[in-house]
Amino acid sequence: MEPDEEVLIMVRKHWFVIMAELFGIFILVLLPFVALVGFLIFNQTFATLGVDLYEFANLIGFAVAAWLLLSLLGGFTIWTHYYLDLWIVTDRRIILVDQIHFFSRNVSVFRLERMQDIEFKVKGIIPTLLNFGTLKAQTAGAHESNFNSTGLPDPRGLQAIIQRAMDKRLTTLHIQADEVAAHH
Amino acid sequence: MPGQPTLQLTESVGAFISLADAVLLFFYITVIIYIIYSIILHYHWAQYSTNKAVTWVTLTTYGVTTVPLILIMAALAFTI
Repeated sequence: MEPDEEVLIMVRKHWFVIMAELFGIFILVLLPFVALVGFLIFNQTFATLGVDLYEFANLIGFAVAAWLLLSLLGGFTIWTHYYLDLWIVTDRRIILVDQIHFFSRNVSVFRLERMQDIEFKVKGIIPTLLNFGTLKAQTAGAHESNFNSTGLPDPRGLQAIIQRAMDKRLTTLHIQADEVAAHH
Repeated sequence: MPGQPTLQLTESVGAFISLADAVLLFFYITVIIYIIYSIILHYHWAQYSTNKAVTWVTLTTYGVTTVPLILIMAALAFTI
């Protein structure tokens, strides 16, 4: 952070985004238990085929534990990527932290005075009901660049905060420029 | 079928490696992956997290949920 820089808001993706991803892990965790219930129900059928499942109880237990462990590792990976993905809006810039995967982390900084256009999009029934969407912005500089973030909560509110911060920043810079000109 | 011998899974694994050895090998590989993953996870949370309380809760939950599974796997791997 720069001296006297003030953080206006810190945003992570909407809770629905992570819940949707973790739901897949929840199903994976349930799967071996469903299979175990199935084995117990059809135990007689297996017995007629000459397969005694109780003989493989340790092996089945081992496989279930391994399955649960790998599912949990998947769940913690999703949670880590969700939590470490971050938007920080300060009174001078927007910092975008994108944790793509464990060995790929992208940190982009956009200065407010270089922002040109900022728009949000809420598309679909669930995003409309839960109020989350995409925020898109264009910046102009030596290298023109855009950013586009999906699944952000209250994109309209976020856009308003950024817009206000941009206006304030430009006003401050103009006042400072006028003061410098007056000194000369 | 009555009189039919019980299926021997060890036979189906083949002569290359016994079932017990295959399970043990799988267990060791899992433990290595688990240790490497745990180090990476801890590094990321220690390095990049913005909230110490969330880091603590995450890493504690991770330990509490995964270590018992490793112990269960160890206990079963050595009894197959």
